[in-house]
Amino acid sequence: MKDPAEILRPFVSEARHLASPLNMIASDMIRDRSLVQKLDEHPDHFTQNYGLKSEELAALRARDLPQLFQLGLHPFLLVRFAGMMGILEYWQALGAPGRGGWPRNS
Amino acid sequence: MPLVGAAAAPHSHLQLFTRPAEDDDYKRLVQKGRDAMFVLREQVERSGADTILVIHDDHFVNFDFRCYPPFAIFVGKEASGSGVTSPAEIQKITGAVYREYEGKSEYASAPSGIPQHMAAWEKQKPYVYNVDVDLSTKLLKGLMERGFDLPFTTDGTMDGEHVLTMNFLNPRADKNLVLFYTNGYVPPLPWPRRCYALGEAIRDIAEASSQKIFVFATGGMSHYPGTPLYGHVDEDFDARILDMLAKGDGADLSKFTPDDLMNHGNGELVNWIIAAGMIGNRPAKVVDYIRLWHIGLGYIYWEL
Repeated sequence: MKDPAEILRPFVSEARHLASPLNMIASDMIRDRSLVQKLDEHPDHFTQNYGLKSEELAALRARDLPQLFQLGLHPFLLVRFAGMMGILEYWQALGAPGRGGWPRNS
Repeated sequence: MPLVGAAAAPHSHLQLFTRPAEDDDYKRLVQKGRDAMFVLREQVERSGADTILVIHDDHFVNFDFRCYPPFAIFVGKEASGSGVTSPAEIQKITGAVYREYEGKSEYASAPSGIPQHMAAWEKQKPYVYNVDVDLSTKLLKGLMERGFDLPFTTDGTMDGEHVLTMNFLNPRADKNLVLFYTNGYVPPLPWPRRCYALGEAIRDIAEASSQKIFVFATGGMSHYPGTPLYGHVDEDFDARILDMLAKGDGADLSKFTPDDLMNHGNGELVNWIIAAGMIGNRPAKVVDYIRLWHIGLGYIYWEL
């Protein structure tokens, strides 16, 4: 396995979540589910109201969880965002060890 | 001597959840964790505590990206929260009583699809605790006097995992609480040396209290939710921490950096380090350590 510090660098040592508008968007989405629909139907809402860069918007619209982690979406909010997008086992998309050989729930 | 006991244990929802397909071996491990919590409950009862000082990292219920302080204290009269699952199920497992409201049959804390332990929509909460306002006020003023610039919160919402710890340790809700919040997962975390010093300062203030206080640090141990390391557990690091605490070397926890804790999946150890600062160099008793699929669950207590 790669060094955990290297894997976690965007989150731990670089703390990219501090400057990323992705976290306010995800926080607002939890409270206002209409934003989930706006992501697909009115993406300009996010560039206009949150100062989102094009690669950030693209990652949200593509539900690109590895890229969102790299861009600074906080892990707690990444899990919530994934859930709102219907992605229940988010760790698979992140390439995480996940459940490994542990028994699965149905 | 008002500090009458101390413990540290996980707040993981996995202690109350076994889904149908998880096999008998897994359920046996979960029961071991519950049994460890019952050992800690016994410590709380034996101590004769009036108040449990709970040190817990908030899971974006009281604080979020609008403002996330390294430490904060709740100063209201009453704290409340929803459980990680239905109150009836929690009562079956832990014996925890809950408040029922006329006309209310559903105790989820938020609409379906919203993480229940992260949300605070509903105001009629099943788990309600009185707060030791005298002690929380003394701590706020005393810590500021000692150079800890401490934010306070008046919301009083406990997330589901915070409630879980009291389901096990305070099932009749007959102990008063003091809720001390930390940042355990939003880097930059508070420095361990600062956490330890904070614990020492809290002890000094608490010793002037007339209440008998049991300190309880929640969280841990190694886990990496929401990251590409989810499912990995740094069991070696957890073993090292438990060994240090068992030998009475809690002060050595203050030598870690915040990045050390986070890279070993142990951001929530900040809570344990504050408790260690309150306890000093007394050896802890390690009750158990259990590896579940994404987390190492460590349970310890100190007899005072």
